[in-house]
Amino acid sequence: MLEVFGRRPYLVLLVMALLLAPVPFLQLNDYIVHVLTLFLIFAVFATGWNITLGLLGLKTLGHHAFFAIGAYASALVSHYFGVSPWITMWLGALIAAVAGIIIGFPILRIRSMPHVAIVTLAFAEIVRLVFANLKDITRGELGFWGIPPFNPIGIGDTAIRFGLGNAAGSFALAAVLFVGVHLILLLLLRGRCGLTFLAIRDAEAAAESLGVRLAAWKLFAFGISAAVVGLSGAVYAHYLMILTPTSVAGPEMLISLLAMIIVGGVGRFFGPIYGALLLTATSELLRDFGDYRMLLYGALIIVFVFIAPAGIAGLKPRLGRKPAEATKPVEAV
Amino acid sequence: MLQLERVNVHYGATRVLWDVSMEVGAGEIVAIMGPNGSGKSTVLKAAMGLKKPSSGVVRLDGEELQARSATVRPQRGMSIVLERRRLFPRMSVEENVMLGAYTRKTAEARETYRWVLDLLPEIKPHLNATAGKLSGGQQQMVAIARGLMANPRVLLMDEPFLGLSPAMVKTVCSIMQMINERGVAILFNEQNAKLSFAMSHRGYLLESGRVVLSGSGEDMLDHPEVRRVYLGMREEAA
Repeated sequence: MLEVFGRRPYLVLLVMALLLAPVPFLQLNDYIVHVLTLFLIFAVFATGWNITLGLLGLKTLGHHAFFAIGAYASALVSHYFGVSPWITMWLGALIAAVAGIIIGFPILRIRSMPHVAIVTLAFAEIVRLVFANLKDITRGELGFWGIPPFNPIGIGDTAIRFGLGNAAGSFALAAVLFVGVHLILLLLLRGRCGLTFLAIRDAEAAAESLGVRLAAWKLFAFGISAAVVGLSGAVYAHYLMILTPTSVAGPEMLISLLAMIIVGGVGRFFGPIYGALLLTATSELLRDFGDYRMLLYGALIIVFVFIAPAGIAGLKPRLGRKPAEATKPVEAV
Repeated sequence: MLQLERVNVHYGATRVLWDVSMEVGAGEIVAIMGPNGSGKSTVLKAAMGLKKPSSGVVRLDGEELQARSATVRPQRGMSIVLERRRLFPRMSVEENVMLGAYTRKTAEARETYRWVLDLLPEIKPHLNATAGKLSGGQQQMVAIARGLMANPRVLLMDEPFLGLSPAMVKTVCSIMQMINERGVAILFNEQNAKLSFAMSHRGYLLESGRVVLSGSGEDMLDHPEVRRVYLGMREEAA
Protein backbone atom coordinates (compact mmCIF):
# COMPACT_ATOMS: atom_id res chain seq x y z
CA MET A 1 0.00 0.00 0.00
CA LEU A 2 2.93 2.29 0.71
CA GLU A 3 4.02 2.01 -2.91
CA VAL A 4 0.55 2.99 -4.12
CA PHE A 5 -0.27 5.82 -1.71
CA GLY A 6 3.06 6.99 -0.33
CA ARG A 7 3.53 7.80 3.35
CA ARG A 8 1.08 10.67 3.85
CA PRO A 9 -1.53 10.63 1.11
CA TYR A 10 -4.01 12.81 2.98
CA LEU A 11 -1.33 15.43 3.50
CA VAL A 12 -0.45 15.34 -0.20
CA LEU A 13 -4.12 15.80 -1.10
CA LEU A 14 -4.43 18.64 1.43
CA VAL A 15 -1.41 20.39 -0.12
CA MET A 16 -2.98 19.99 -3.56
CA ALA A 17 -6.27 21.41 -2.28
CA LEU A 18 -4.44 24.37 -0.71
CA LEU A 19 -2.60 25.03 -3.97
CA LEU A 20 -5.87 24.95 -5.93
CA ALA A 21 -7.93 27.03 -3.50
CA PRO A 22 -6.55 30.49 -4.32
CA VAL A 23 -6.54 30.04 -8.13
CA PRO A 24 -10.08 31.43 -8.76
CA PHE A 25 -9.15 34.57 -6.81
CA LEU A 26 -5.82 35.24 -8.51
CA GLN A 27 -7.27 37.02 -11.55
CA LEU A 28 -5.25 34.74 -13.83
CA ASN A 29 -5.61 34.79 -17.58
CA ASP A 30 -8.82 32.91 -18.52
CA TYR A 31 -6.93 30.66 -20.88
CA ILE A 32 -4.60 29.48 -18.11
CA VAL A 33 -7.57 28.83 -15.82
CA HIS A 34 -9.24 26.93 -18.67
CA VAL A 35 -6.16 24.70 -19.07
CA LEU A 36 -6.06 24.10 -15.30
CA THR A 37 -9.77 23.21 -15.34
CA LEU A 38 -9.18 20.66 -18.09
CA PHE A 39 -6.24 19.29 -16.08
CA LEU A 40 -8.48 18.74 -13.05
CA ILE A 41 -11.19 17.02 -15.08
CA PHE A 42 -8.66 14.79 -16.86
CA ALA A 43 -6.92 14.03 -13.56
CA VAL A 44 -10.20 12.65 -12.20
CA PHE A 45 -10.69 10.70 -15.44
CA ALA A 46 -7.17 9.25 -15.25
CA THR A 47 -7.52 8.38 -11.55
CA GLY A 48 -10.76 6.55 -12.28
CA TRP A 49 -9.15 4.58 -15.09
CA ASN A 50 -6.15 3.81 -12.88
CA ILE A 51 -8.41 1.80 -10.55
CA THR A 52 -8.80 -1.01 -13.08
CA LEU A 53 -5.59 -0.45 -15.01
CA GLY A 54 -3.17 0.13 -12.15
CA LEU A 55 -4.73 -1.17 -8.96
CA LEU A 56 -6.62 -4.16 -10.30
CA GLY A 57 -4.04 -4.84 -13.01
CA LEU A 58 -6.51 -5.33 -15.87
CA LYS A 59 -5.23 -3.89 -19.12
CA THR A 60 -8.44 -2.14 -20.05
CA LEU A 61 -8.20 0.24 -22.99
CA GLY A 62 -11.80 1.41 -23.29
CA HIS A 63 -12.42 3.80 -20.44
CA HIS A 64 -12.87 6.74 -22.81
CA ALA A 65 -16.19 5.00 -23.60
CA PHE A 66 -17.32 5.56 -19.99
CA PHE A 67 -16.21 9.19 -20.26
CA ALA A 68 -18.37 9.54 -23.38
CA ILE A 69 -21.29 7.71 -21.77
CA GLY A 70 -21.18 9.95 -18.69
CA ALA A 71 -20.81 13.06 -20.84
CA TYR A 72 -23.58 12.25 -23.32
CA ALA A 73 -25.99 10.83 -20.73
CA SER A 74 -25.77 13.94 -18.59
CA ALA A 75 -25.83 16.31 -21.58
CA LEU A 76 -28.75 14.63 -23.34
CA VAL A 77 -30.97 14.37 -20.26
CA SER A 78 -30.32 17.94 -19.18
CA HIS A 79 -30.81 19.23 -22.74
CA TYR A 80 -33.93 17.32 -23.74
CA PHE A 81 -35.68 17.02 -20.37
CA GLY A 82 -34.58 20.24 -18.76
CA VAL A 83 -33.15 18.47 -15.72
CA SER A 84 -30.49 20.40 -13.82
CA PRO A 85 -26.90 19.32 -14.62
CA TRP A 86 -26.37 19.14 -10.86
CA ILE A 87 -28.63 16.09 -10.99
CA THR A 88 -27.77 14.70 -14.42
CA MET A 89 -24.04 14.54 -13.62
CA TRP A 90 -24.82 11.82 -11.07
CA LEU A 91 -27.06 10.12 -13.58
CA GLY A 92 -24.15 10.15 -16.05
CA ALA A 93 -21.90 8.56 -13.42
CA LEU A 94 -24.53 5.94 -12.61
CA ILE A 95 -25.12 5.00 -16.26
CA ALA A 96 -21.35 4.78 -16.82
CA ALA A 97 -21.09 2.52 -13.74
CA VAL A 98 -23.80 0.21 -15.09
CA ALA A 99 -22.01 0.13 -18.45
CA GLY A 100 -18.77 -0.67 -16.60
CA ILE A 101 -20.35 -3.60 -14.78
CA ILE A 102 -21.91 -4.88 -18.02
CA ILE A 103 -18.56 -4.84 -19.87
CA GLY A 104 -16.98 -6.33 -16.74
CA PHE A 105 -18.94 -9.58 -17.09
CA PRO A 106 -17.32 -10.83 -20.32
CA ILE A 107 -13.92 -9.62 -19.09
CA LEU A 108 -14.21 -11.92 -16.06
CA ARG A 109 -14.00 -14.86 -18.43
CA ILE A 110 -10.93 -13.60 -20.29
CA ARG A 111 -7.56 -14.61 -18.85
CA SER A 112 -5.34 -13.13 -21.55
CA MET A 113 -4.51 -9.46 -21.03
CA PRO A 114 -4.14 -8.66 -24.76
CA HIS A 115 -7.67 -9.96 -25.24
CA VAL A 116 -8.95 -7.80 -22.38
CA ALA A 117 -7.33 -4.83 -24.12
CA ILE A 118 -8.92 -5.68 -27.47
CA VAL A 119 -12.40 -6.29 -26.01
CA THR A 120 -12.41 -3.00 -24.11
CA LEU A 121 -10.99 -1.12 -27.09
CA ALA A 122 -13.72 -2.59 -29.30
CA PHE A 123 -16.33 -1.61 -26.71
CA ALA A 124 -15.14 1.99 -26.84
CA GLU A 125 -15.29 2.00 -30.61
CA ILE A 126 -18.84 0.64 -30.51
CA VAL A 127 -19.82 3.41 -28.10
CA ARG A 128 -18.24 6.04 -30.35
CA LEU A 129 -20.04 4.68 -33.42
CA VAL A 130 -23.37 4.54 -31.59
CA PHE A 131 -23.11 8.20 -30.55
CA ALA A 132 -21.91 9.13 -34.05
CA ASN A 133 -24.85 7.40 -35.71
CA LEU A 134 -27.63 8.49 -33.39
CA LYS A 135 -27.69 11.72 -35.36
CA ASP A 136 -31.29 12.57 -34.54
CA ILE A 137 -30.40 12.70 -30.88
CA THR A 138 -26.68 13.52 -30.69
CA ARG A 139 -26.19 15.27 -34.08
CA GLY A 140 -23.29 12.87 -34.64
CA GLU A 141 -19.94 14.32 -35.57
CA LEU A 142 -21.54 17.70 -36.29
CA GLY A 143 -21.42 18.09 -32.54
CA PHE A 144 -24.03 18.18 -29.81
CA TRP A 145 -24.11 21.83 -28.87
CA GLY A 146 -26.36 23.76 -26.58
CA ILE A 147 -25.53 21.66 -23.54
CA PRO A 148 -26.61 23.71 -20.53
CA PRO A 149 -23.89 24.71 -18.07
CA PHE A 150 -24.28 24.01 -14.38
CA ASN A 151 -26.88 26.31 -12.84
CA PRO A 152 -25.37 29.28 -11.02
CA ILE A 153 -24.94 29.14 -7.27
CA GLY A 154 -25.64 32.22 -5.21
CA ILE A 155 -23.44 33.02 -2.23
CA GLY A 156 -24.75 36.19 -0.62
CA ASP A 157 -25.06 38.76 -3.40
CA THR A 158 -22.59 36.94 -5.62
CA ALA A 159 -23.68 34.40 -8.22
CA ILE A 160 -21.04 31.87 -9.19
CA ARG A 161 -21.52 30.95 -12.82
CA PHE A 162 -20.19 27.91 -14.61
CA GLY A 163 -19.47 26.72 -18.13
CA LEU A 164 -17.03 27.91 -20.76
CA GLY A 165 -16.59 31.65 -20.45
CA ASN A 166 -16.90 31.53 -16.66
CA ALA A 167 -13.38 30.45 -15.93
CA ALA A 168 -13.20 31.01 -12.17
CA GLY A 169 -16.51 29.28 -11.38
CA SER A 170 -15.73 26.34 -13.66
CA PHE A 171 -12.31 25.95 -12.13
CA ALA A 172 -13.77 25.99 -8.61
CA LEU A 173 -16.28 23.30 -9.58
CA ALA A 174 -13.55 21.14 -11.17
CA ALA A 175 -11.37 21.64 -8.09
CA VAL A 176 -14.16 20.50 -5.76
CA LEU A 177 -14.74 17.50 -8.01
CA PHE A 178 -11.01 16.73 -8.03
CA VAL A 179 -10.52 16.98 -4.26
CA GLY A 180 -13.82 15.29 -3.44
CA VAL A 181 -13.30 12.31 -5.74
CA HIS A 182 -9.72 11.78 -4.61
CA LEU A 183 -10.68 12.07 -0.93
CA ILE A 184 -13.49 9.52 -1.31
CA LEU A 185 -11.22 7.18 -3.27
CA LEU A 186 -8.50 7.52 -0.63
CA LEU A 187 -10.97 6.61 2.11
CA LEU A 188 -12.18 3.66 0.04
CA LEU A 189 -8.90 2.35 -1.31
CA ARG A 190 -6.64 2.76 1.72
CA GLY A 191 -8.52 0.02 3.53
CA ARG A 192 -9.71 -3.47 2.78
CA CYS A 193 -10.99 -2.53 -0.68
CA GLY A 194 -7.59 -1.32 -1.92
CA LEU A 195 -5.80 -4.30 -0.37
CA THR A 196 -8.22 -6.61 -2.14
CA PHE A 197 -7.63 -4.95 -5.51
CA LEU A 198 -3.86 -5.18 -5.07
CA ALA A 199 -4.09 -8.79 -3.93
CA ILE A 200 -6.06 -9.67 -7.08
CA ARG A 201 -3.52 -7.79 -9.20
CA ASP A 202 -0.43 -9.36 -7.69
CA ALA A 203 -1.50 -12.97 -7.08
CA GLU A 204 -5.02 -13.82 -8.13
CA ALA A 205 -4.91 -17.48 -7.08
CA ALA A 206 -3.54 -16.54 -3.66
CA ALA A 207 -6.25 -13.92 -3.24
CA GLU A 208 -8.94 -16.46 -4.13
CA SER A 209 -7.51 -18.99 -1.69
CA LEU A 210 -7.74 -16.39 1.08
CA GLY A 211 -11.46 -15.97 0.48
CA VAL A 212 -11.52 -13.05 -1.99
CA ARG A 213 -14.55 -13.31 -4.28
CA LEU A 214 -12.79 -12.45 -7.50
CA ALA A 215 -15.81 -11.90 -9.74
CA ALA A 216 -17.65 -9.65 -7.30
CA TRP A 217 -14.59 -7.51 -6.56
CA LYS A 218 -13.67 -7.14 -10.21
CA LEU A 219 -17.19 -6.03 -11.10
CA PHE A 220 -17.15 -3.62 -8.17
CA ALA A 221 -13.84 -2.19 -9.40
CA PHE A 222 -15.26 -1.78 -12.90
CA GLY A 223 -18.34 -0.08 -11.52
CA ILE A 224 -16.42 2.38 -9.31
CA SER A 225 -13.85 3.09 -12.00
CA ALA A 226 -16.49 3.70 -14.69
CA ALA A 227 -18.55 5.86 -12.31
CA VAL A 228 -15.59 8.15 -11.58
CA VAL A 229 -14.72 8.40 -15.27
CA GLY A 230 -18.37 8.99 -16.18
CA LEU A 231 -18.65 11.72 -13.56
CA SER A 232 -15.61 13.49 -15.02
CA GLY A 233 -17.20 13.14 -18.47
CA ALA A 234 -20.43 14.75 -17.26
CA VAL A 235 -18.56 17.72 -15.77
CA TYR A 236 -16.56 18.01 -19.00
CA ALA A 237 -19.77 18.11 -21.06
CA HIS A 238 -21.38 20.88 -19.01
CA TYR A 239 -18.12 22.81 -18.95
CA LEU A 240 -17.36 22.80 -22.70
CA MET A 241 -21.08 22.72 -23.62
CA ILE A 242 -20.39 20.85 -26.84
CA LEU A 243 -19.55 17.20 -27.50
CA THR A 244 -18.57 15.17 -30.53
CA PRO A 245 -18.23 11.37 -30.41
CA THR A 246 -14.64 11.51 -31.63
CA SER A 247 -13.59 14.19 -29.15
CA VAL A 248 -14.71 12.15 -26.14
CA ALA A 249 -14.50 8.53 -27.34
CA GLY A 250 -11.95 8.75 -30.13
CA PRO A 251 -8.41 7.43 -30.29
CA GLU A 252 -6.88 10.79 -29.34
CA MET A 253 -8.67 10.69 -26.00
CA LEU A 254 -7.51 7.11 -25.46
CA ILE A 255 -3.87 7.93 -26.20
CA SER A 256 -3.89 11.17 -24.19
CA LEU A 257 -5.34 9.58 -21.08
CA LEU A 258 -3.25 6.46 -21.32
CA ALA A 259 -0.18 8.66 -21.64
CA MET A 260 -1.20 10.60 -18.53
CA ILE A 261 -1.48 7.40 -16.49
CA ILE A 262 1.73 5.82 -17.80
CA VAL A 263 3.79 9.01 -17.54
CA GLY A 264 2.36 9.78 -14.10
CA GLY A 265 2.71 6.24 -12.77
CA VAL A 266 0.43 3.26 -13.36
CA GLY A 267 -0.84 1.88 -10.07
CA ARG A 268 0.27 4.91 -8.03
CA PHE A 269 -2.62 6.81 -6.52
CA PHE A 270 -1.25 10.26 -7.32
CA GLY A 271 0.55 9.24 -10.52
CA PRO A 272 -2.30 10.05 -12.94
CA ILE A 273 -2.59 13.53 -11.39
CA TYR A 274 1.06 14.33 -12.15
CA GLY A 275 0.68 12.86 -15.63
CA ALA A 276 -2.49 14.86 -16.28
CA LEU A 277 -0.82 18.08 -15.16
CA LEU A 278 2.27 17.54 -17.30
CA LEU A 279 0.48 16.38 -20.42
CA THR A 280 -2.49 18.77 -20.30
CA ALA A 281 -0.06 21.66 -20.04
CA THR A 282 2.22 20.22 -22.72
CA SER A 283 -0.72 19.54 -25.00
CA GLU A 284 -1.89 23.13 -24.75
CA LEU A 285 1.61 24.51 -25.25
CA LEU A 286 1.96 22.40 -28.40
CA ARG A 287 -1.48 23.20 -29.77
CA ASP A 288 0.08 25.10 -32.70
CA PHE A 289 1.59 21.83 -33.91
CA GLY A 290 -1.86 20.33 -34.41
CA ASP A 291 -1.95 16.56 -34.78
CA TYR A 292 1.84 16.36 -34.55
CA ARG A 293 1.60 16.80 -30.80
CA MET A 294 0.46 13.20 -30.65
CA LEU A 295 4.00 12.33 -31.73
CA LEU A 296 5.23 13.89 -28.52
CA TYR A 297 2.70 11.88 -26.54
CA GLY A 298 3.94 8.71 -28.19
CA ALA A 299 7.56 9.64 -27.58
CA LEU A 300 6.86 10.44 -23.91
CA ILE A 301 5.20 7.08 -23.37
CA ILE A 302 8.17 5.27 -24.93
CA VAL A 303 10.67 7.25 -22.86
CA PHE A 304 8.81 6.61 -19.60
CA VAL A 305 8.26 2.93 -20.28
CA PHE A 306 12.00 2.45 -20.80
CA ILE A 307 13.55 4.93 -18.39
CA ALA A 308 10.96 5.29 -15.64
CA PRO A 309 8.39 2.52 -15.81
CA ALA A 310 6.99 3.62 -12.46
CA GLY A 311 6.29 7.09 -13.90
CA ILE A 312 6.69 10.48 -12.25
CA ALA A 313 5.21 9.22 -8.97
CA GLY A 314 7.76 6.44 -8.91
CA LEU A 315 10.67 8.85 -9.35
CA LYS A 316 10.02 10.83 -6.20
CA PRO A 317 11.00 8.37 -3.49
CA ARG A 318 14.15 7.39 -5.36
CA LEU A 319 15.51 10.93 -5.31
CA GLY A 320 15.68 11.28 -1.54
CA ARG A 321 15.94 7.69 -0.42
CA LYS A 322 18.94 6.19 1.27
CA PRO A 323 20.17 2.92 -0.20
CA ALA A 324 18.05 0.14 1.27
CA GLU A 325 19.71 -2.01 3.89
CA ALA A 326 20.10 -5.60 2.90
CA THR A 327 17.58 -7.74 4.76
CA LYS A 328 19.31 -10.01 7.20
CA PRO A 329 18.70 -13.65 6.33
CA VAL A 330 16.81 -15.69 8.87
CA GLU A 331 19.01 -17.93 11.00
CA ALA A 332 18.66 -21.59 10.28
CA VAL A 333 17.44 -23.73 13.18
CA MET B 1 -11.17 -34.78 8.45
CA LEU B 2 -10.22 -34.03 4.81
CA GLN B 3 -11.12 -36.68 2.27
CA LEU B 4 -10.72 -36.88 -1.47
CA GLU B 5 -12.71 -39.67 -3.07
CA ARG B 6 -12.14 -40.77 -6.66
CA VAL B 7 -11.22 -37.24 -7.71
CA ASN B 8 -10.63 -36.68 -11.41
CA VAL B 9 -9.29 -33.45 -12.83
CA HIS B 10 -8.95 -32.36 -16.45
CA TYR B 11 -7.02 -29.44 -17.93
CA GLY B 12 -8.97 -29.00 -21.15
CA ALA B 13 -9.06 -32.40 -22.78
CA THR B 14 -6.10 -33.69 -20.79
CA ARG B 15 -6.87 -35.77 -17.75
CA VAL B 16 -4.32 -35.13 -15.01
CA LEU B 17 -5.82 -36.91 -11.99
CA TRP B 18 -7.28 -40.39 -12.22
CA ASP B 19 -9.62 -41.46 -9.39
CA VAL B 20 -7.39 -40.04 -6.70
CA SER B 21 -8.50 -40.89 -3.18
CA MET B 22 -6.69 -39.53 -0.12
CA GLU B 23 -7.40 -38.79 3.49
CA VAL B 24 -5.94 -36.48 6.10
CA GLY B 25 -6.89 -37.22 9.69
CA ALA B 26 -7.03 -34.64 12.49
CA GLY B 27 -3.55 -33.69 13.63
CA GLU B 28 -1.76 -35.64 10.91
CA ILE B 29 1.07 -34.66 8.61
CA VAL B 30 0.46 -36.28 5.24
CA ALA B 31 2.88 -36.12 2.34
CA ILE B 32 2.17 -36.48 -1.35
CA MET B 33 5.32 -37.52 -3.15
CA GLY B 34 5.86 -37.96 -6.83
CA PRO B 35 7.92 -36.88 -9.81
CA ASN B 36 7.40 -33.69 -11.80
CA GLY B 37 4.08 -33.64 -13.60
CA SER B 38 2.57 -36.41 -11.50
CA GLY B 39 -0.31 -34.18 -10.38
CA LYS B 40 0.78 -33.39 -6.81
CA SER B 41 -0.04 -29.69 -7.04
CA THR B 42 -3.31 -30.44 -8.81
CA VAL B 43 -4.41 -32.60 -5.87
CA LEU B 44 -3.90 -29.67 -3.51
CA LYS B 45 -5.61 -27.24 -5.90
CA ALA B 46 -8.58 -29.58 -6.22
CA ALA B 47 -8.77 -29.93 -2.44
CA MET B 48 -8.61 -26.16 -2.01
CA GLY B 49 -11.12 -25.43 -4.79
CA LEU B 50 -8.63 -23.62 -7.01
CA LYS B 51 -9.19 -26.30 -9.65
CA LYS B 52 -12.65 -27.76 -9.93
CA PRO B 53 -12.66 -31.57 -10.16
CA SER B 54 -14.48 -32.99 -13.16
CA SER B 55 -15.78 -35.72 -10.86
CA GLY B 56 -15.23 -37.05 -7.38
CA VAL B 57 -15.82 -35.80 -3.88
CA VAL B 58 -13.83 -33.40 -1.68
CA ARG B 59 -15.08 -33.59 1.87
CA LEU B 60 -14.07 -31.62 4.94
CA ASP B 61 -15.52 -32.84 8.23
CA GLY B 62 -18.31 -34.53 6.32
CA GLU B 63 -19.25 -31.48 4.23
CA GLU B 64 -18.92 -31.90 0.48
CA LEU B 65 -16.98 -28.99 -0.98
CA GLN B 66 -16.11 -30.06 -4.54
CA ALA B 67 -18.73 -27.80 -6.09
CA ARG B 68 -17.90 -24.83 -3.85
CA SER B 69 -15.35 -22.16 -4.77
CA ALA B 70 -12.05 -21.72 -2.97
CA THR B 71 -13.39 -18.70 -1.11
CA VAL B 72 -15.45 -20.82 1.32
CA ARG B 73 -12.51 -23.01 2.41
CA PRO B 74 -10.86 -20.58 4.86
CA GLN B 75 -14.15 -20.22 6.74
CA ARG B 76 -14.41 -24.01 6.93
CA GLY B 77 -10.90 -24.32 8.42
CA MET B 78 -8.72 -24.98 5.38
CA SER B 79 -5.99 -22.80 3.93
CA ILE B 80 -3.11 -23.21 1.52
CA VAL B 81 0.49 -22.07 1.17
CA LEU B 82 0.87 -21.93 -2.58
CA GLU B 83 3.82 -23.08 -4.65
CA ARG B 84 6.51 -20.39 -4.92
CA ARG B 85 4.79 -18.60 -2.03
CA ARG B 86 2.64 -16.35 -4.24
CA LEU B 87 3.01 -13.45 -1.84
CA PHE B 88 1.71 -10.02 -2.71
CA PRO B 89 5.19 -8.73 -3.49
CA ARG B 90 4.52 -5.00 -3.35
CA MET B 91 2.69 -5.09 -0.03
CA SER B 92 4.37 -5.08 3.35
CA VAL B 93 4.92 -8.31 5.26
CA GLU B 94 2.27 -7.25 7.79
CA GLU B 95 -0.28 -6.60 5.05
CA ASN B 96 0.48 -9.99 3.52
CA VAL B 97 0.06 -11.77 6.82
CA MET B 98 -3.12 -9.90 7.80
CA LEU B 99 -4.70 -10.69 4.43
CA GLY B 100 -4.54 -14.32 5.52
CA ALA B 101 -7.41 -13.50 7.87
CA TYR B 102 -9.47 -12.01 5.06
CA THR B 103 -12.68 -13.76 6.01
CA ARG B 104 -12.31 -13.35 9.76
CA LYS B 105 -13.36 -10.67 12.21
CA THR B 106 -10.68 -8.13 13.10
CA ALA B 107 -10.54 -9.02 16.81
CA GLU B 108 -10.10 -12.73 16.07
CA ALA B 109 -7.53 -11.93 13.42
CA ARG B 110 -5.50 -9.81 15.86
CA GLU B 111 -5.44 -12.67 18.34
CA THR B 112 -4.26 -15.14 15.69
CA TYR B 113 -1.72 -12.57 14.48
CA ARG B 114 -0.08 -12.54 17.91
CA TRP B 115 -0.07 -16.35 17.95
CA VAL B 116 1.48 -16.48 14.47
CA LEU B 117 4.20 -13.98 15.40
CA ASP B 118 5.01 -16.02 18.50
CA LEU B 119 5.28 -19.11 16.34
CA LEU B 120 7.34 -17.38 13.64
CA PRO B 121 9.35 -14.71 15.46
CA GLU B 122 11.77 -14.53 12.51
CA ILE B 123 9.32 -12.37 10.54
CA LYS B 124 8.83 -9.82 13.33
CA PRO B 125 11.76 -7.58 12.32
CA HIS B 126 10.48 -7.48 8.72
CA LEU B 127 6.84 -6.59 9.27
CA ASN B 128 7.18 -3.23 7.53
CA ALA B 129 9.45 -4.52 4.76
CA THR B 130 8.16 -5.04 1.24
CA ALA B 131 7.42 -8.76 0.94
CA GLY B 132 8.90 -9.10 -2.55
CA LYS B 133 12.30 -7.92 -1.31
CA LEU B 134 12.75 -10.68 1.27
CA SER B 135 14.87 -13.77 0.71
CA GLY B 136 13.18 -16.97 -0.45
CA GLY B 137 13.26 -18.45 3.05
CA GLN B 138 11.82 -15.35 4.64
CA GLN B 139 9.11 -15.25 2.00
CA GLN B 140 8.23 -18.86 2.78
CA MET B 141 7.79 -17.96 6.44
CA VAL B 142 5.54 -15.07 5.49
CA ALA B 143 3.54 -17.41 3.25
CA ILE B 144 3.18 -19.89 6.13
CA ALA B 145 2.18 -17.07 8.48
CA ARG B 146 -0.43 -15.93 5.96
CA GLY B 147 -1.75 -19.47 5.67
CA LEU B 148 -2.03 -19.76 9.46
CA MET B 149 -3.98 -16.51 9.80
CA ALA B 150 -7.14 -18.29 8.66
CA ASN B 151 -6.73 -20.37 11.84
CA PRO B 152 -6.94 -23.56 9.79
CA ARG B 153 -7.51 -27.06 11.08
CA VAL B 154 -5.88 -28.36 7.93
CA LEU B 155 -3.09 -26.54 6.14
CA LEU B 156 -2.20 -27.44 2.56
CA MET B 157 1.37 -26.71 1.49
CA ASP B 158 2.36 -26.85 -2.17
CA GLU B 159 6.08 -27.62 -2.51
CA PRO B 160 7.05 -25.83 0.73
CA PHE B 161 10.76 -26.53 0.25
CA LEU B 162 11.02 -25.44 -3.37
CA GLY B 163 14.02 -23.20 -4.00
CA LEU B 164 15.16 -23.15 -0.36
CA SER B 165 18.67 -23.72 0.91
CA PRO B 166 19.26 -26.95 2.90
CA ALA B 167 19.44 -24.94 6.12
CA MET B 168 16.16 -23.24 5.36
CA VAL B 169 14.55 -26.57 4.47
CA LYS B 170 15.41 -27.72 8.00
CA THR B 171 13.89 -24.55 9.42
CA VAL B 172 10.68 -24.96 7.47
CA CYS B 173 10.49 -28.64 8.50
CA SER B 174 10.69 -27.74 12.15
CA ILE B 175 8.11 -24.98 11.70
CA MET B 176 5.75 -27.49 10.08
CA GLN B 177 6.24 -29.81 13.02
CA MET B 178 5.57 -26.99 15.48
CA ILE B 179 2.38 -26.09 13.63
CA ASN B 180 1.34 -29.72 13.68
CA GLU B 181 2.04 -30.02 17.41
CA ARG B 182 -0.51 -27.26 17.91
CA GLY B 183 -3.19 -29.44 16.36
CA VAL B 184 -3.11 -28.32 12.72
CA ALA B 185 -3.18 -31.14 10.17
CA ILE B 186 -0.85 -30.65 7.21
CA LEU B 187 -1.11 -32.02 3.69
CA PHE B 188 1.94 -31.16 1.63
CA ASN B 189 3.64 -32.30 -1.54
CA GLU B 190 7.30 -32.72 -2.23
CA GLN B 191 9.58 -34.46 -4.73
CA ASN B 192 12.15 -35.57 -2.17
CA ALA B 193 10.99 -38.95 -0.89
CA LYS B 194 13.26 -39.12 2.13
CA LEU B 195 12.38 -35.65 3.32
CA SER B 196 8.65 -35.95 2.77
CA PHE B 197 8.04 -39.41 4.24
CA ALA B 198 10.49 -39.00 7.13
CA MET B 199 8.52 -36.11 8.58
CA SER B 200 5.01 -37.35 7.84
CA HIS B 201 2.61 -39.68 9.62
CA ARG B 202 1.34 -41.00 6.32
CA GLY B 203 2.21 -40.61 2.69
CA TYR B 204 0.97 -41.13 -0.84
CA LEU B 205 3.03 -41.82 -3.92
CA LEU B 206 1.57 -40.29 -7.03
CA GLU B 207 2.60 -41.24 -10.56
CA SER B 208 0.99 -39.93 -13.75
CA GLY B 209 -2.01 -38.68 -11.82
CA ARG B 210 -2.68 -41.96 -10.01
CA VAL B 211 -2.05 -42.97 -6.40
CA VAL B 212 0.26 -45.96 -6.76
CA LEU B 213 1.25 -46.43 -3.14
CA SER B 214 0.14 -45.26 0.27
CA GLY B 215 0.99 -46.04 3.86
CA SER B 216 2.63 -44.70 6.98
CA GLY B 217 5.70 -42.53 6.53
CA GLU B 218 7.98 -45.33 7.78
CA ASP B 219 6.35 -47.93 5.54
CA MET B 220 6.69 -45.67 2.54
CA LEU B 221 10.41 -45.15 3.24
CA ASP B 222 10.91 -48.89 3.60
CA HIS B 223 8.96 -49.83 0.50
CA PRO B 224 11.29 -51.47 -2.06
CA GLU B 225 9.83 -49.50 -4.97
CA VAL B 226 10.32 -46.19 -3.17
CA ARG B 227 13.84 -47.16 -2.14
CA ARG B 228 14.76 -48.28 -5.64
CA VAL B 229 13.16 -45.52 -7.72
CA TYR B 230 13.12 -42.52 -5.42
CA LEU B 231 15.98 -43.12 -2.99
CA GLY B 232 18.36 -44.70 -5.51
CA MET B 233 19.04 -47.74 -3.29
CA ARG B 234 19.50 -51.26 -4.58
CA GLU B 235 17.78 -54.04 -2.63
CA GLU B 236 21.01 -55.76 -1.59
CA ALA B 237 22.41 -52.49 -0.33
CA ALA B 238 19.23 -51.95 1.64
